[in-house]
Amino acid sequence: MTSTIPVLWPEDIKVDVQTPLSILRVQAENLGRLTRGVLQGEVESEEGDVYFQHRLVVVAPAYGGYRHTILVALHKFHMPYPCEVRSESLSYEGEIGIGFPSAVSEEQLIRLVRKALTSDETKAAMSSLIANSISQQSKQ
Amino acid sequence: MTSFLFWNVMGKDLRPLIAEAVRIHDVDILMLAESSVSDKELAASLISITGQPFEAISDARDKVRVFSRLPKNLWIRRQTDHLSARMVIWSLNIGPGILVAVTHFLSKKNVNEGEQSMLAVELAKEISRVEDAVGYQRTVRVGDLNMNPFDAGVTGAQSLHAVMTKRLAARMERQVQGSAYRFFYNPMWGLFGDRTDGPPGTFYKRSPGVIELFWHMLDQVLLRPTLMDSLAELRVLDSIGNAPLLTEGAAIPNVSIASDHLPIFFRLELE
Repeated sequence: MTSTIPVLWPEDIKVDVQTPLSILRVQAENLGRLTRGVLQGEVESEEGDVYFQHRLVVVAPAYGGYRHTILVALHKFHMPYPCEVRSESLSYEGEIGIGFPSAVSEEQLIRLVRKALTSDETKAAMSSLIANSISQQSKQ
Repeated sequence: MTSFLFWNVMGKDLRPLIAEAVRIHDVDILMLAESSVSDKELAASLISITGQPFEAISDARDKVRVFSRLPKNLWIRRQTDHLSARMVIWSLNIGPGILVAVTHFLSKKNVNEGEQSMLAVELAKEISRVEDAVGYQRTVRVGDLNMNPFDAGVTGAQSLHAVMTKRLAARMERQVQGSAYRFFYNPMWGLFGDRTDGPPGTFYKRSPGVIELFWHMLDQVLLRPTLMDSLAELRVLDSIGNAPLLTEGAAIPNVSIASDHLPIFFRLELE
């Protein structure tokens, strides 16, 4: 009898899904290496009664420790997905104001984070922080 | 003496009133939430009425617009978050140097109290990080918190940890479950209700719910203990010159001539 009932689960269920926090931590850890230490990445997490937010913060140590939140991942406390990704380049005008997209899987989240980090807005912010840091270092 | 004025202007063009308030109170630093006028036009209005060299300090995406007649090179931007807590922190090189943290939080119409508390945790954490980077804790936090002084986001140890008396704040910090949390002093408590001069709060709301406070203190200035004795004056303004900001009968914010929020004015003795 059971053999006639099809398996309805999708074939592409992954068994090694990473959390938004893990994905952001990897980006933070690699920022220092990619900018030869001029910029550093940090992930700051805050919890509410329903939501968790993880912020990817770019820090410019030579520029007075300036801190710029470049991306925010927001999800429910016990459910890492769906995860809303807030970044300037991902914002859109929704029916009730500014909205941001959500990812329901690791792949979607990686796609959104990549889009945000390679956007012109992020590049401009990073270029500014690097330029200001170098300018500050040359003054000292 | 350095004087500050913060006002949520409800998206209205209140240039004549704002400029008059700045002139009358000899304001050095003006902060506006929900400003709909361009910085250029507002600065022009301030210069025209006061004769002082006001300039915009904010960048295009900042929620709170900041104008100052103090030289721009005294301001150093230390932190930015446009995405969640909608905040900016500057260091201002006057007197011994202070940090100015400005924010306009989302209201309870858009987020629940838990989310507001989460953003307050972020705000507190970012302020502490910047204090550690600059090496001092002379911080003044100003803005529309969209919370009352007794809400968890303002009082909680992990949040702003703002207490109602100087004596409490003088302990500097408090250990909670093994971690130390810095205090803020919240002088707004002293302006609540009708037993002190000035209006009972900064915002009035009348809703049909069972519990309604009517007057709320959503706009607040908080001071770190190292700065609290510098507070020389703090007032919620109910008039600007001859222009009353409250209605004649009910004495609530008169939205037909100004905003649903009242401005807060304060002076710090920093020299």
